[in-house]
Amino acid sequence: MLRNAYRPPGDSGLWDHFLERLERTLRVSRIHPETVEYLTHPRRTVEVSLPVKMDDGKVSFFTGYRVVHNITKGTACGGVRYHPGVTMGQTAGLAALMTLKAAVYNLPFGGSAGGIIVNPGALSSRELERLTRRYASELVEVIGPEEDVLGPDVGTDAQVMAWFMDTYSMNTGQTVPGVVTGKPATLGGTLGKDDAGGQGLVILLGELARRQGWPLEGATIAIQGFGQVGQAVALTAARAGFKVVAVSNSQGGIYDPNGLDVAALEAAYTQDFETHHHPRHRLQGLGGRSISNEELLALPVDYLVPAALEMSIHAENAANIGAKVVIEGANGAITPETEAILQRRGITVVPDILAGGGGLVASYLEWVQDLTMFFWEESEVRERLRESVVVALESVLDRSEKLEGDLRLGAYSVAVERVNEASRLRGVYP
Amino acid sequence: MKSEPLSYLSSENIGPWEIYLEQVDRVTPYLGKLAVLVDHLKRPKRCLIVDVPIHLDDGSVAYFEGYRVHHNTARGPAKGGVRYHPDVTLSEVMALAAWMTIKNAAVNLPYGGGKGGIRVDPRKLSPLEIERLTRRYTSEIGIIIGPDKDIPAPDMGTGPREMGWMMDTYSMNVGRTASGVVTGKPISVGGSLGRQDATGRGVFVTAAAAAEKIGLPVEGSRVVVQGFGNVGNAAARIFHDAGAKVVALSDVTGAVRNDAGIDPYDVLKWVSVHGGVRGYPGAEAIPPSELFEVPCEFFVPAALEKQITEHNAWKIQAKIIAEGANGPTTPTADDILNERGILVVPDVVANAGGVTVSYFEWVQDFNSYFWTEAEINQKLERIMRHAFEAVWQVAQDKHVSLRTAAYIVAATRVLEARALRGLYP
Repeated sequence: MLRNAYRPPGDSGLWDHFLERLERTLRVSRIHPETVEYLTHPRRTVEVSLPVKMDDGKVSFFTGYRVVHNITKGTACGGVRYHPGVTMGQTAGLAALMTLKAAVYNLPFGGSAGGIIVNPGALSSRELERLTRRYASELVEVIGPEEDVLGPDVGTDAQVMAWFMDTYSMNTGQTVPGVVTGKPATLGGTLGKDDAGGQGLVILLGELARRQGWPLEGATIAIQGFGQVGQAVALTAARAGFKVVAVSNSQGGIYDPNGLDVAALEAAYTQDFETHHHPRHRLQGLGGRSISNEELLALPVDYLVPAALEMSIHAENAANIGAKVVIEGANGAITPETEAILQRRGITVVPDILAGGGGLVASYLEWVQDLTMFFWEESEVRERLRESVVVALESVLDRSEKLEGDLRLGAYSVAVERVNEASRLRGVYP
Repeated sequence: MKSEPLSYLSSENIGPWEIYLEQVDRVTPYLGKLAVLVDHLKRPKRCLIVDVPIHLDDGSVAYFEGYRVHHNTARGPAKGGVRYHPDVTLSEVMALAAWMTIKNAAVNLPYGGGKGGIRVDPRKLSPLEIERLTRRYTSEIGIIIGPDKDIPAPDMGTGPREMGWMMDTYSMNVGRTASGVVTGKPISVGGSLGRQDATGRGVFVTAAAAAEKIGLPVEGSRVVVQGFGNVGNAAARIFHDAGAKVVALSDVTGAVRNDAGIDPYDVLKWVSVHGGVRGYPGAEAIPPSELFEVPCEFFVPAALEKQITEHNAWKIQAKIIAEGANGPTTPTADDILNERGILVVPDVVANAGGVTVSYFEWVQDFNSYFWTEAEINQKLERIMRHAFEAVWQVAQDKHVSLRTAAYIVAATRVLEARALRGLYP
């Protein structure tokens, strides 16, 4: 079956990892053979050329992608990444992970992802706006609140989502907030969204620790990556009584064995995310001593949260990981071969499609509010997020126990069976 | 570069639009960095003028002038009523559309502002003629209205009946049931419960919120209500239910006063039989001008515009005035009241209960799932309280009246959305 699978051009890392894990899951799951192959082919891949007039009057060309992996269970939903390392293979892999994540959380969503090969930090705000509007216009025929919903990812933020919303609305001649999530609240965004990814992860960790008898109060956490998810994990975990001992950005990290200051984490978070500016992932003012990213991964902590980019834990550093539990805050943070090494070393892995669901649940709640145009209090959003996380965790734990397998296998098995069941019921069109 | 004045309104005939422009100029200094975008508020997004020809019952054809204006859609689809009145002009419709932008933003509803109208005296047309007029007008403006584009509602000269026709015409034109295209519909075609009392309830909620701020208990307080129509009688009843004492009332037929308290439910029964409050036996008749002198804690003008003027503003004894009507206080009177320390809850907030329940109607239409009256009242109270709180905060921070604060809050929200969305393309 996998021999017929879709092959993206060029680098295919994340997509290959997905296929590898899918194959492992199929060996132990009850699936319907006629429709399972759907998952090995993205439903639609789009590549667009994006000419942008730069501030100096010259025209630059960028390449953009949008992949809809699967829509059997509902509207496609997935982020848009602005990063120089974006590839079709990476985008397809992220789209597939979104399909699985939505299924683990039982949301009426399929999976998609998009991206532009660009370093957003090298563009002016005007250039970034023109690039965003051109990308949205190129995709206007295939996106929409009932077709494919966009959201933020690495390199994009609430401002970029506002431009998407405006461009799509102007193109279609009506107000359509539901075409993107992660918008500012003024334009139909939800309350409680900014830190939902981190909140969800910490809620999940707390519940999991309680059930498995892992350390809780005062347990140590190291976080790699200080973007939207990393910062929110740090702040939420610190508030919840965990001891956040280390954080890092792409340049390096800081470490304080006694735990970083909660107020300083709070200040960093507020500065980066509540001012509508592009996050800078700053570590200044947090205290602690400087360490490298590799040193951070090797710290002897209870929990390690890789929340930077994918494949940050790989064959070369797997042997050094000092944590007892690794929770994937970033999609695809751990490669399949690395995971085997970690398992042999007795390290538990909490997989991305379970751990990183908070952001997607918040996107779902925002979309629901946009469809009905009725907006909830923050406490309502938080309560529903908590419920979703607990229900998802229970279904995965239950499945892992039945299969006598790890959490990744349990999560993949739950997700693949749900999507597969929907495919079987819908049948093969026409 | 400063924008040119609009060429399509001649300067000698600029009308109500000019009043609106002056109001924007007054709040501009408070808008901080957003002030550079203020021209965005001073130009309507689009104005549509349509000819509305209909067959009269005698077989002849009459032509009417129709308008639909979208003032602003930065925060969401346009929303605002449709007025049937012989004096409707483009300037008036533009100003009313702009005031809807302000009101919707002040209450934080996800709407821009719009308004429409036909230059017609509906009393001179038969019901069948009004139906043909409404249907033709709806078809003509059909290119710019829709549940996600612009949602009309009743205004002077129109009501649930006209909204039913508009909903039907639009639905037939697009080939599906589109109940969310208008609000203020009859319940049976997707209208909302709680609409009747909505504006009066909002007046009460915001007045009570203001009272809380100045440590004035509602229970046991005295209330004077000018106007006993939809808004006035609902406000009177809800104040009464909350333990306040309604001490004086008026409508076009006259005014009555009883310092021991008047039961508004009882007045309502009297009015339904006798057509007005005049002669109501439970109170003593007073000249309408005396209404402004009756000692009270709350004064609710819920009749027409320009009722509180420099002639009576200095007589009013209330601590709080909650504007149930649109524009009941003249600018001069407003200054007098401010000087005298009387707290005025301005119309854009105080009487926004109506548009808020319109909003609920539209939300329910999206879901095709309808709420109970209790749910609606509870949500209305929540939204109105949030709205008042935001305005109160700005009034405190900037040391301005609640009216100025409401305009600052509204203009800031609209321009913030404009800034975030950027300038298309």
